[in-house]
Amino acid sequence: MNKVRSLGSVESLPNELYGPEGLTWWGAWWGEIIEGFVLVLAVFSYVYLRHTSATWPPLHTPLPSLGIPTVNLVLMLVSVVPAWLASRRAREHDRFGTLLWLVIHSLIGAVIVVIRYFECFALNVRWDANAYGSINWALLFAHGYTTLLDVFDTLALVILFAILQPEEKHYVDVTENSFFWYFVVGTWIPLYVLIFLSPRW
Amino acid sequence: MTTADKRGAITLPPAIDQGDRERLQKTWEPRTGFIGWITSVNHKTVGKRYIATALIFFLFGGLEAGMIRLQLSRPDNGILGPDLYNQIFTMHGTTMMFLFAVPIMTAIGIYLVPLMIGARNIAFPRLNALGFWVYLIGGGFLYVMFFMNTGPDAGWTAYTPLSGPEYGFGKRVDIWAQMVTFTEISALIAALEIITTIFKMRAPGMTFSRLPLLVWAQLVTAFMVMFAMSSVATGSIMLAADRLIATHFFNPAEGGDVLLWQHLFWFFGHPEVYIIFIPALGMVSQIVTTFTGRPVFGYPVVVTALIATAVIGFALWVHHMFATSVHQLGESFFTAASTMISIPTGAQIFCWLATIWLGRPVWKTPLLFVIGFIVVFVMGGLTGVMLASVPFDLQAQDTYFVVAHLHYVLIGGAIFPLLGAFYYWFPKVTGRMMSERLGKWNFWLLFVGVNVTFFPMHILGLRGMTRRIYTYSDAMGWGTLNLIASVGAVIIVASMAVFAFNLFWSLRKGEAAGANPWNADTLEWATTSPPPPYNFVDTPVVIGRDGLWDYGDEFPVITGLHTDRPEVLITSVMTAEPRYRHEAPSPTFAPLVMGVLIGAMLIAGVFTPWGLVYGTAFIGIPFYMWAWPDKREHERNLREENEKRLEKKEAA
Repeated sequence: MNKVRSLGSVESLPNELYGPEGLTWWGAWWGEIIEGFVLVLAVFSYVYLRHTSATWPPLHTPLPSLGIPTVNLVLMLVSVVPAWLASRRAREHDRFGTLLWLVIHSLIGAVIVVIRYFECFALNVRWDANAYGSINWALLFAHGYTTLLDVFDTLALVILFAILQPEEKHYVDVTENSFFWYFVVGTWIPLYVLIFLSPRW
Repeated sequence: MTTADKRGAITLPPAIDQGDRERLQKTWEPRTGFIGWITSVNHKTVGKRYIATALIFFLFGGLEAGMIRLQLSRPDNGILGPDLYNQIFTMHGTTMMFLFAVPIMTAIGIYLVPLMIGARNIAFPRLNALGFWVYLIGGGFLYVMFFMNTGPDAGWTAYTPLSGPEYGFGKRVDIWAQMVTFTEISALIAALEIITTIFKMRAPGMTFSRLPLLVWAQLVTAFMVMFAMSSVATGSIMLAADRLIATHFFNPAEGGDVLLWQHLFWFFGHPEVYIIFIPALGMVSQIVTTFTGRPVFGYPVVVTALIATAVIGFALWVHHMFATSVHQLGESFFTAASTMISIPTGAQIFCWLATIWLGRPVWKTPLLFVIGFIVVFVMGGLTGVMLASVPFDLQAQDTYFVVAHLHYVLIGGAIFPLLGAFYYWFPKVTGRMMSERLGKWNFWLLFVGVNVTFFPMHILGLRGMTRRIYTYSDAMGWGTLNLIASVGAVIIVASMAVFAFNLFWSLRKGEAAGANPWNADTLEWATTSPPPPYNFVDTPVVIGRDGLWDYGDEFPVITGLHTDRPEVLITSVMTAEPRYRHEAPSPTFAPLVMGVLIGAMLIAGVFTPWGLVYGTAFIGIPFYMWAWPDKREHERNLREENEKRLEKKEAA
C-alpha cells in the first residue's frame, strides 16, 4: 500500500440526524432494552413468587387501592402529549415552542414522581411484611427510579433551552428524551395491570 | 522504510495530507500529562486502563488460588482456618469472574473494536470513561473490605439462604452484592457502547458480511451482557434489600423462595461463561487467520456458531440446578440444550483446524496458544457434556470433578486465547514485539501446569472430594493427588512469572514492531503502532471481507472529516454508508466525578438505604456538568449552523 486514493469527501454531510439514523437514538434504545429487561426479570420474579404462594395476596393482606394509581396512570398517558409536542417542535427547531412543552412535560413528570411516592402506600402492604409486599415495592421502585431519572433529564433540557441558544444536537436530545419517556409510559401500563389489577383476579 | 516496516509486506498507508497528522494530534489529545491522562475519553487510554486494572485483579485472584492450593497440598493442613479459607475461595471466584475475566474481555473490545472497524473513537466515550471508574471503585472497595477481614464468604455464587440475613452475618455478603452492582453497571455501559459503535461507526463498505470475526464476537458478547448482567443485577439488588431493609424475596418463611436466587443467578452465571469465552473465540479466529495466511475456513459457519452459542447459552442455566426440585421434563430439556451447545463450538473448532490444514501455519507463540486452547478446552467441553446428564451430574454435584471441568473450560477457553491475544496485539498497542523465546516457555509451562493441576481434580471428584472444604483427613486418601495438583499450581505460577517478565521486558527492550509485523488483514494494522489518538488520518474504505489483503497497491479512503475538532463518521446500520459527521465529546473530569459519586452512593448503600436517596440527588451535579456545552465550541457550532441555514436558503 504505497499510495492512498480518496474515493470522496464527507464534508458536505450533516452534523446530526434524528431517530435511528443518529447515534444518540441507539444509546437511548439500548438503555431501554436494558432497563426493560430488568423490569421483565422483576415481573418474572413476581410471577414466580406468586406461583409458589398458596394465596396471592397472602392471607390478611388487603388488596391494593386503585384510586391514586389510576390517577397516576391517566397522568402518565396524558404526559405523552407534551413529550410528543416537545419532540415535534424540536424537529422544527422552534426553541420557545420546545421549551414550553419541555416545561409542561417536566412539571407533569415531577407530579408523577410525587404521586408515585403515595402510590407505594396504595399497595396497602409494607415491603418488609412478606414477599408479596417486597416484590410489589420493588416493581414500583424500579419503574419509579427510571421515571425520576428521565424527569432529571427533562429538567436539564429545560435549563439548557432556557439559558442557551440550542444547537442541532440539543434538539436531537429533546427527541431522544421524549423517545425514552414513551418507554417509561409504555412499560407502566402492563406493570399497573400486574400490580394493581391482577391480584383481584 | 524502516527495518521494522520491512517485516511485513503490508506497510503503513500514507496520508492524503501529511499536515493532517499534526492537526489531528492536537485536536484528539488537547491535554497531556497527568490531567490529560485522568480526563481522557479516548477508547485506547480507557481500554489500556481497564486491561492494566484487570491484570492486577488477575494477580490477586492468582495469589488467592495459590493460597488455596497451599492449604490443600496435604491433609489436615492448618495454614488457613475455615473462616479465612471461605473468604479466600469466594474472593478467588469473584475476582476471576467479575473483576478479571469479563472486564478484560470487554477492555480488549473497547481498545480494538473502533480500530478494527476503522473508527476514530468509541460511541459515547465519556460513558466509557465512567464505566472504568465505576469498575475500579467497585473492585477496590471489595479488596479494601477483604483486607479488613470483611471479605465475602458465601462463595462466588452466594446461594441463599447461606448468603441471606439468616446465615450471612455482618456486612460480608452485602459487600459482595454491591460489588456485583458496580461491575454490572460498568459491563452494561461497555456493552451498550460496543453495540452502538459496531452498528453506527463502521468504515464505509464494512457490511456485516465483512465484519472481522473478533468484532462479531464482541457484538454477540455485548448482546449477551445486556441480558445476563441485568439478571444478576436484579438478583443482587434483591439480596442486598433482603439483608438491609428486611424484604423477603428469598425468605421462605414469608412467602419468598431461595431457588428464585438460583434462577436469577444462573440465568446470568451460565451465559457468563460464554461472555468470557465468545470474545476468546474471536481472538482465536483472528490469530488463526493471520498465522495461516488465509481467511478462516467457513466464515458464515463461524458467525452462525457464535450467534447459536449465545442463543443456546441462555437456555441451559437450569443444568446448574439439577440437584434442586426441577421438574423431570425440565431436566430433559436442559440436558438436551446443554449437550446441544457443543455443536456450534465443535463446528468452529473444525473450521479452525481446516484453516490450519489448508493454510501455511507459522508456529509463533499466538498460534501455539490457539493449539493449547483447542486441546484444553475440548477436554473441558467433554466433561461438560458428561455433566449435562442428570444421573452423572447428581453424582458429581459439588465435587472436585466440577472444579476440574470449570477450570478446563475457563482456562482453556479464555486464558489460552487471551495470552495468545497478548502476544498478537502487544506490538500494536506498544509498538514493540514480545520475546518469542519467553513466549514459548510461557506456553509450555502453562500447558503442562494446567494439566498437572486440574486433571487430578477429576479423579479427586470421582473419589468424593467435595468443593469448598478447607481441609481433609489423611484417611480419605486424597493427599497424593492434591499434592500433585499443588505442584501443578507452582508450574502455572512459573508460567505467569515468565509472562509478566516478558511483558515488562518487551515494553522496554522489545524489538520495534512497525505497523503490521504479522502481515495481518484487519484494519488496526493499517495505522501506526501504537496507534495515534485519532486512529486513522483518513477514514479507510473496506472493499472485501479480507480487509488489508484485499487492497492492491492503493489504500482507498474517504476524506472530509474536520481536523480542528474530534469528528467521527457515522454510517448506516446495514450498509455502512456515510450518513453524518459527529463531533465526539472532548476530555473532561465529569466521568471521574460521577464515578466517585456513584461509588460513594453504592458504598453508602451497603450501610444505609438513604445512601441511594442522597446519592441520586448528588449525581445531578456531574450530570449537568457532563451535558453543559463548552462555550467556545457552542458559539462555533451555532455560527456554522447559521451559515449552513443561510446557504440552504440562498440555494432555495
